[in-house]
Amino acid sequence: MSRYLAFLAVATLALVSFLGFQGKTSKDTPVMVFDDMDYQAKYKPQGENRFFADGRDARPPVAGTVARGDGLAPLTVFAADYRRAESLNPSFVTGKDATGAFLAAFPAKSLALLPGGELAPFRVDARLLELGRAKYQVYCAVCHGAAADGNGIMKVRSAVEGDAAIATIANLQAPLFRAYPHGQIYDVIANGKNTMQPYGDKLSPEERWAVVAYLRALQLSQAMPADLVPAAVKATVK
Amino acid sequence: MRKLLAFLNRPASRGNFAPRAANSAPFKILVCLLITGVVVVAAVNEYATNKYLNVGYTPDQPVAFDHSFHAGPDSVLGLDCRYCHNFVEKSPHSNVPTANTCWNCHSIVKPDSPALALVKKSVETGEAIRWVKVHKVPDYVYFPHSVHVNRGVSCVECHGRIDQQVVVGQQKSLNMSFCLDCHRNPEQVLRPLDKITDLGYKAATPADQVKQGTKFVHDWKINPPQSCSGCHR
Repeated sequence: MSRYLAFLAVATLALVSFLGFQGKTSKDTPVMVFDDMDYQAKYKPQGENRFFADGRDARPPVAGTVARGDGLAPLTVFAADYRRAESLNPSFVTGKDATGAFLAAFPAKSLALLPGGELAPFRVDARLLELGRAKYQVYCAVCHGAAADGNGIMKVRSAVEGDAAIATIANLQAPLFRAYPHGQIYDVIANGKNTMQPYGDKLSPEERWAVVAYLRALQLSQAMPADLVPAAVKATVK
Repeated sequence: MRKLLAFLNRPASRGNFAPRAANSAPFKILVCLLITGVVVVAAVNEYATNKYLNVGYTPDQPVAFDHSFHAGPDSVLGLDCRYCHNFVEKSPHSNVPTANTCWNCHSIVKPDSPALALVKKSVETGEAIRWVKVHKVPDYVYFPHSVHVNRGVSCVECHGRIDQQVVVGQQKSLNMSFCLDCHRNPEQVLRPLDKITDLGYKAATPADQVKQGTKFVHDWKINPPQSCSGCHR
């Protein structure tokens, strides 16, 4: 008995010293004890695929493909009465009117189709401003700053690191950008400008208009005539 | 012990067929089996679980992206998780960002750094960067990110404090009981929607958490599936 227990103790010690305990970090791919169907031969988002030359599961659309809905709403794509709202209301997507000039006002119609086939009106309301605020703070404030004055973390860090980036970040409170028509700001969001890369892949057309609306609110807030500020608020501002 | 064995091996009053040591054999075997059983149960409990097999998986990535520098309100840059993982609110799949996303900033910040060579190559040629997947559930598990983050489940619940990690590793077990813990008691984790990417957020007290969680469960009509087909197809 004592010989067996000694053997067991040594074996346990060896096992523990070899395997360690829970929580240790490792660079090795985790062991799958029973990997039944854990790894299936199927196409996955951003998956790797050795069959195709570019190594991706995702296939780019064939050249000349006409867009019909998107992958996030697959049911609409195959609906018999599908109408592509973007083709009914192109200026909502481009920010330009039929003559190619930037829209001076927000578009009157949205991309949402009413049951009758009409486009729903586009409302610039508190909900849109909230959406704009959320998106602005994630995607825009990094460079342009929470108050749109161009003092985002990018500028702060550029000063620390001595990068050239500091000179290229736009102060959106400047008269030049205040004078931009809504459509031009929309266009810059969608397609980029100078050193600013396009954000059209991150923001849907509605979200881009929401950001335009929120930016207009920020510009208003920074140029408020003092007599319009309520007395109670004025007391708290230094 | 010695006395016990001596008692078991005491001389029999009449003649024995078997040697006297055999008297204590059943007892000894029982003790050995018991101890072996305890060791085996302890070993299975420690090792045959995702908490050992998967937690701590911290592979080297092709580009040494440092989350603790870039991401989260407490980091140096304070980027929101969604700046890069921008489809997490819209899609079941939370995307690994495209190289273009890195280039939004890095086209003017250290574009020629050797650490960014692969990213630069990817931007110029379109060649994919082969990021190594860290958080993996089996292929028969369908976890939709958008549903969770739009209903008050923070990134931190499954991914841990990514905003404090230099190299991303798996911090939670992600096994089925881990999922069910939340699906059975969602009020323990739900938080306001504007705190989803604030990984360090905690309600003031556990009681407050239950209070606000219960409110969210009611207001958002949260009814997490516990049936097989909720997650398996």
